[in-house]
Amino acid sequence: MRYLPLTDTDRQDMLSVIGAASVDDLFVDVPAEARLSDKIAGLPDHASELAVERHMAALAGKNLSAGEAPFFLGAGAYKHHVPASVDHLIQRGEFLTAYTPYQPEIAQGTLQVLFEFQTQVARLLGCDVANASMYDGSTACWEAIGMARRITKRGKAILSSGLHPHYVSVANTMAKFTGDALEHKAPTLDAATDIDALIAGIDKDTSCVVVQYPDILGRIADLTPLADAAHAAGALLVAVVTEPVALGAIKAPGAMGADIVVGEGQSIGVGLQFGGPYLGLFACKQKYVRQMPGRLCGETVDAAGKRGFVLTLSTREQHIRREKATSNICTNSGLCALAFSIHMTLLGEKGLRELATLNHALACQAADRLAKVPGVKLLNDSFFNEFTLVLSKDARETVRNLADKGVLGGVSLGRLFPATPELGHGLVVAVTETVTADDIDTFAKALEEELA
Amino acid sequence: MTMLKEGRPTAPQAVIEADGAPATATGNRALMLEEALIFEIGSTETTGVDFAQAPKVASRLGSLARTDSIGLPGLSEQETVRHYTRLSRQNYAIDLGLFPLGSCTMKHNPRLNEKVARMPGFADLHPLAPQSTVQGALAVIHELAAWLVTLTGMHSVAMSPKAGAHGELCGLLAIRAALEARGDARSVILVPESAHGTNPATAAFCGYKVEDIPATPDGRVDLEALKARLGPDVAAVMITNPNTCGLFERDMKTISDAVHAAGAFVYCDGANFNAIVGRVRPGDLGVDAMHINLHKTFSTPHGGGGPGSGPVVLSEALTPFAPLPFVEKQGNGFVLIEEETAQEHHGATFGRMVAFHGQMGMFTRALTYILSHGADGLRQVASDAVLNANYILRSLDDVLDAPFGGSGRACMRRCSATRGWPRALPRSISPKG
Repeated sequence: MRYLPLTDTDRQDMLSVIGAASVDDLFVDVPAEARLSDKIAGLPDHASELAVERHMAALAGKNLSAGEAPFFLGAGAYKHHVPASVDHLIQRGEFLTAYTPYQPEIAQGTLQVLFEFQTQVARLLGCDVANASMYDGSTACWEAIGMARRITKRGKAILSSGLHPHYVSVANTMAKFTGDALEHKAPTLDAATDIDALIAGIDKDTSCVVVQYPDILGRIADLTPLADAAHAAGALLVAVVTEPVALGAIKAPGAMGADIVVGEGQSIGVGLQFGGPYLGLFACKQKYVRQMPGRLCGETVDAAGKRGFVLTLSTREQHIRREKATSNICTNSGLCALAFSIHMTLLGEKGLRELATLNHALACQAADRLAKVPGVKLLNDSFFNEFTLVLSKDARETVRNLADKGVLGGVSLGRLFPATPELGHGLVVAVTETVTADDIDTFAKALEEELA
Repeated sequence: MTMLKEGRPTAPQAVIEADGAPATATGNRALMLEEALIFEIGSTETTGVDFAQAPKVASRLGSLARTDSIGLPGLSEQETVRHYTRLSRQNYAIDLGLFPLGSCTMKHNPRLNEKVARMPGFADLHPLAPQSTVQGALAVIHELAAWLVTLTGMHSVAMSPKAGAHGELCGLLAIRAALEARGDARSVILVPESAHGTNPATAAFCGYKVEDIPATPDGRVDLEALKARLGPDVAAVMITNPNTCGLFERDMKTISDAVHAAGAFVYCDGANFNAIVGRVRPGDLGVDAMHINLHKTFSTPHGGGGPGSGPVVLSEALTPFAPLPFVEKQGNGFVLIEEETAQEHHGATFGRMVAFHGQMGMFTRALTYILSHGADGLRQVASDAVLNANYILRSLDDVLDAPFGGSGRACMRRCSATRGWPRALPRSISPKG
């Protein structure tokens, strides 16, 4: 058992120091009927590193990974190239195996990273202040709804039909218990977003409007009129960004008046990982910072007057405020935040803009090519790196058939909105820098066969 | 026992004089390197990544092109590697030595776990990929779930919670859904005053009033006081076991029986499961829901504050209310039960907690750790952890006053980090040498 450092001799020596005859004696506080006298039956015993690696590799081999196929999936998780140095650096033991930075004197590395990460996120999203991360975009989204309730003391949130349906589901789950009233409709297959309808729905009971940008169908629209309408009614605008690379090309939500901007940071540095761990981004205007959930790192000076970093405004948090905390979140996504921050440092503004430009250009080429396939109509007038196709057939079945041909051809709206059959022909297609001209061609030809 | 709730002062009590060494031009002292912020050393014109030339296309961004300066500094690749390597040296971590934390299980993070999690078949998999293309990933979730259910003696497990506190939320939402399903509105959750701050915060989030359970002088739940408080308004009791004082709640089964007799549920904070894994099954103690921190008991890295992973094992009574999505074996394959399929057989589910399926990257690591240890190794882990903890306790007898460990009692304090000790270390920290 390679991870257990004690030998039987050590164990005997230690027992004699303790004054116990056996380890069993140390479990005397466990009621006798609940004490297991031997290992649990029916489970395998320990295995060699080689055997375990083979077992896991066999399971990994049963999956078709994104890199093995022409790949066009998005809808909240995006395949981007992550530079090799990112993964190397996050595996340094001093980062990987460090504890949460409660003790600043032994965690200045993590704390400076978080301080830099927060500043990068705030600038990217166009906000004054960002926290040290949440679990993922969906949980950040419902935390934002709760934060808007605390700020406005109103309980009705209006969710855009363009918000990721899983984010809506998460918010609905939480609202059942917090008592928030959530208004939401499924999207329709229109080129325009639902911003006009959202504006019309705002009233004096509205705590916030939650709008995704770009939205689940890849559509983008100026949020300024929505922010103005929300503010005029005393409500907040919460913007949700599931593809942060987009903000290298399009205006930041904060710059258009959003009060709280949350997002999924997976796109930068983190990788697909079948849905987790991901990275919740959370930023807001300075005046709302005391209602923010989660950890916040700030700059200070140490006893010798030198710059240092500490967790700050902790009186919002559960470890101090217990039942009066702004959230129950404790562990967040520290290592994913590190990966994001390293990748963003490698990119810099220049690299981010180039990456965004490349994504957009390839997406435009793919949209034009796919729209030429008989039975395919491009829904969007505008988009960043993701758009919706309306097919002549059920898209869910099409996606399955494409997978059988070795093409991972987008996410069907049928999978995302199973209760809305009118969306069944919709297919959301994402195109990043990892897509080649050959991939686009292969996808178009397979789709043509499928729709023929 | 009184808990310190104010936190500790962060302002310096007095300026500590430097050690008398002369100032250096860079601020560096020997191998301790000063490191500036990226905003001080980077430039918006510098990048450490090269891209292919983008094809020329007509923009589809409408009027939304971002023209302002974003203010994101870049560094070349070697500057980036230096920046983060230097910062890493300002951290203490498990890889550098003992981490005997009172509030968290810290243990060795095997590197095989990291290697496995990075296999493209796991790392490069989209959460919404067609199910026919992700059967191996669903198998991992199913296999890990089976281990967790068996090790805890529970009925089922909800895999999607993202961390311990998120798992607490899952457990309490299942409890509340179960109570609502039987038309039994209850308003109070009882929490020991020694509980981790997430316990009361979670209960309050779920709309419950939080009341303290008093502790006995020996650091355990006061059974008689608890029994006296139970009544038709109490929804659940949240208990950490082994508890925050490092002690096993001797009366756990009696507590559970009393709680159940009063129509309430038992939530167990499993933060310290490491000390009993393979030796005690919470299911045998009457627990209804318990989160398991994969980043504590099952060795996934803490990463300087996450990501965690908090699957929640559930009793038979709570299983129908488990969150979506989850994995089921059907025939020779695995099926991910999402919203549409749930309607048919799992209509009582309280809903979805996260966008996708939970912390897959942690599942692969935890399963790798579990398979490496097996049933025999996991039991030995708990044995060694408790042995180490009691050895430390006894070794410190002469210098520290152990508030709850006296009168010959054994402790289960979470000393799992000790599993990573070099063998000489216990002697070196013993004051008696």
